[in-house]
Amino acid sequence: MWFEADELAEIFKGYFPYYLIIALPLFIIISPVNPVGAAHEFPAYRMQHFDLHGVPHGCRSAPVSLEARPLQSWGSSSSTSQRHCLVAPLSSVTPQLLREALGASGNGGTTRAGALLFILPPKGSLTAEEKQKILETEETLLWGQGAIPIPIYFAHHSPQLVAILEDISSSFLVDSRPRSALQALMNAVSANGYQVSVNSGQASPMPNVFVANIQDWNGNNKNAEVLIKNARVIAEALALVMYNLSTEHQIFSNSLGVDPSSLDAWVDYLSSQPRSAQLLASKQNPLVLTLQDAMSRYTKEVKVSYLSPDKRDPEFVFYDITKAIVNVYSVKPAVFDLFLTIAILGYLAAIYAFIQDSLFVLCLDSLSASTNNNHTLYMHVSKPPKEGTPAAQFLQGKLPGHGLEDKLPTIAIVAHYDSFGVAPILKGVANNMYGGSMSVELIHKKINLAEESLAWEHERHSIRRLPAFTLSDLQELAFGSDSNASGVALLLELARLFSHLYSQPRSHPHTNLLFLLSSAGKFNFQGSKRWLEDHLDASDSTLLQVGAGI
Amino acid sequence: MEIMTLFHFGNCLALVYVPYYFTYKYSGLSEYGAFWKCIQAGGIYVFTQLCKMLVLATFFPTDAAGQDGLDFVGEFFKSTVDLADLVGLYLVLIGIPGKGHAKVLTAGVGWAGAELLLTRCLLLWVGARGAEFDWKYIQKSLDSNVSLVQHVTTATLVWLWSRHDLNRSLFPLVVVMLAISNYKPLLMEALAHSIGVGPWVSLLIRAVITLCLGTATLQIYAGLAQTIGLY
Repeated sequence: MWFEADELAEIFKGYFPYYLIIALPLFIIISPVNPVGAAHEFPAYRMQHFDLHGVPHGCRSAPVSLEARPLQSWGSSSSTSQRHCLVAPLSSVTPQLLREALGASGNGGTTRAGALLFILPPKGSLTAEEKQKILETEETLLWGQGAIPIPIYFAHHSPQLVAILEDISSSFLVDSRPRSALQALMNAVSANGYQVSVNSGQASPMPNVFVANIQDWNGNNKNAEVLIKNARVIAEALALVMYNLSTEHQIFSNSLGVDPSSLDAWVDYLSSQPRSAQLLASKQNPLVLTLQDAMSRYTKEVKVSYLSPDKRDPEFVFYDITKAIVNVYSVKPAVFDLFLTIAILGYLAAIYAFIQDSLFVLCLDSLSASTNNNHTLYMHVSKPPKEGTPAAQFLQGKLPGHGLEDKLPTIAIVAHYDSFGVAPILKGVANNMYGGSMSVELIHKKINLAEESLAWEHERHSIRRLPAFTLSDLQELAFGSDSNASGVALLLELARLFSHLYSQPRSHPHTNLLFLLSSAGKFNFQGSKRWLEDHLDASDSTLLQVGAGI
Repeated sequence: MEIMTLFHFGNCLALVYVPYYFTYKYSGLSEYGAFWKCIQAGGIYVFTQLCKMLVLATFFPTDAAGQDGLDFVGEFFKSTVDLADLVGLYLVLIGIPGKGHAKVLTAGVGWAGAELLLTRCLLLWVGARGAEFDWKYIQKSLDSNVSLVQHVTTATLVWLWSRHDLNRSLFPLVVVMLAISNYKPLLMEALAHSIGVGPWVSLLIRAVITLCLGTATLQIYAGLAQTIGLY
C-alpha cells in the first residue's frame, strides 16, 4: 500500500513542536483570564428592585461575572475591589460592614464591591440577636442606601455553597496569619479561585404585574407554641363575641379546637418560599392558587382581585429578574496548568527512560555485485534510523564516540559465509563508502513475519531489537555466489584495518569491534540467530552489529 | 480564554497518547508494519462491544430505580458478559500472523487504542475543554495508561491460554489471572464501596494490580517463548 500510516506517525515524531514547550507557557502567563473550573449552580433571589413614585429603590443591577472574595477580606487589604463579588453568610453581616462594602464615603472614594452574594441561614438556626442583626441589615439594604447600583443576591443555604465559602476564606484570608513562604507559594499555584457568574441581562420593568390581595400569614419564625396559644385565644375570643357570651363559657374544646398540626403545616408551607410581591405577581402563581383553593374550602366565595399599576403614571414599578441561577465556577490559577504540564512531561520522560535502545547493527551482503561506474550502495533497513541516532550518523559518515572507558560499547560486524553458489568469486571490495563516485541509498522494507524466511540478515537482529542494517549493492537479495563472498571479504578487510587502528593507542576509537562470521545464512540466518541467543544478554552494551553473513 | 481550556485538553491528550506511541515505536512494532493490524484489532473491538451491548440491553434492562448499594450479583452477571472481550481478543490473535511479542503487542495496542478512541477521546474533547476543571480528566488519562498495560496483559494471557504447549501446571494460573483481569472493575467497585477509597487511591490500586498481573504474565510468557524457541 503506497500510503503508509506509520510514516505519518514518523512525520509527527520528526516535527515535534518543541517550541510549543516555550510558547504555551508564555501564553498562559500573559493571558489575563483565568480558566473556568467546576460549576456549581445555585438558585438565588435578587434583592428587591422597584420604583416607587418614580424614585428608584433597591438593587438596580442584575448580571454578575466576578471573582469571589469573602466578606471578611473587605477593608483589610486593597485586594478586594470592584472586580470582586463578596460572599458571606447573612448572619455575619453587620450594617457597618455593609455600608463600607456599598461604598460609604468614609473610604475616601467609591471603592465598593462589584456584587454581593449572601447565603441565607438554614431554617430555625437563628438566635434572637442574630435575627435582630439581620433585620437591621435588611433595613440598611432597602432604605438606608438609596438605590444600590450593584447586584445583590440571596442564596439558600446549601452545604456546597458553605464549603465554597470556607475554601475562599482560607485561601484568600489576607490578615497576617502566619504562613510559610512555601505555603504561600503552593497557594498561589494550586488554590481554588471561584468565579461567580449570573447570566442575565439588565433588569427591565415588568410589563404586566398583578398584585393579588389575599389574607396573608406573615410569620416565618417557627415558634409553634406561641402561635397555637395565640390562635386559641383569638378564636375563643372571636367566638364569644360572635355568640355574645361571657368569658365563663368555652366554645372551642378539644374535639373542635385549634389543630396544631394543620397550623404547623401551613406555616411550613408558607415559610418555605419567599413571598415578596414581585415573585407572586402573576395570575398563575402556585401560592396564590393554593391559598385560593384553601379559602374556598372554608368560605362560600373567594374573590381574588388583581390590581395593576396605571401604565402611564405608575405608583410602583417592579423589575424582573427576581430569581436567577448563580454559577460558581472553581478556577485554578494560571500557572497551575503549567505545573501540570511539567508533571506530565516528567511522567512521560520516566516512561521514555525505560525503553531506550542500543546503537545499530550493520550487516553486509552482496557488496560487489554492481558493475557500472556510478554504483549505488543500498542500505536496507526495516526501520529507518531516526535523526541523531548513531545509525543515522553512520549513514552520514560519522561514527559516534562514547565516553566511558571501562564499559566500552561494542560494534559487531557480522557476515554469513555460506552461499548457494558453486564457485565463490572473491573480489576485493576497496571502495570508500562515502563520497566519490558512489552513492548510498536507503531501502526500507518492513519485516514480514508471515513469510517463511527473512529477507536480510539485519532482520534477524532487528527482531532482537538491535538496530541493524545490511549494506548491499543489490536492491533485492540474490542467491548467487557473490552473496556472500563479498560480505565476508569486506569483513575480513575491515578486521585487518581496524586491528591496525586498535594497535596504535592514539588512534584507538572509543568502541569495541566484534567480528562475527555466521553460518547458515542462506537458511534464514540461523547462525546469527543462535549467536544472538547465546550472547545477547551478556552484551547489552553492544552498540552496532555490522552483519556480514556467514 | 479558548487557549486556556485547550491547554488542559492538550495536557490530557498528551498523557493519553504518548505512552501508546512509545509502546508502538519502541517495542519494535513499527518494524513489522503492524499499523493496519492494529486498526484491524480495533475493528474487532468495536464489533465485540456492539455484541456485548446488545446482550446487555436484552438481558439486563436498565433498572428504573438507582440503587445506592452495590448490586453484587447483578454486576457480576454484567461482568460475565465482559468475557466476550476475551473471545474478541482471541479472534484478533488468530487474525494476526506472526509469532512472539509482535503478535500480542499488536493485538493489545490495537484493542486498547480502539477503546481509548471510543471511550476517552470524546469525553476529553467535551469535558477537558469545557468549563469545568476537574481532576477526573487527569485521572481518566492516567487510567487509560493503566488500561493499555492491562489489555496487552490480557492479550498475552489469551494467547498463552490458546497454546497447547503451555506447561500444564501453569494453566490454572493463567485462567485465574484471566478471571482477575476480567472482573477487575467489579472488584474495584466493591472495594470502593466497602472501604470508601477516593479516586486517586483507587487509581493507584488499579495500577498496582495491573502491574502485578503484567509481570506475572511476562514471566510465564518468557518461559514459554524460551521453550518454543521464539527467539
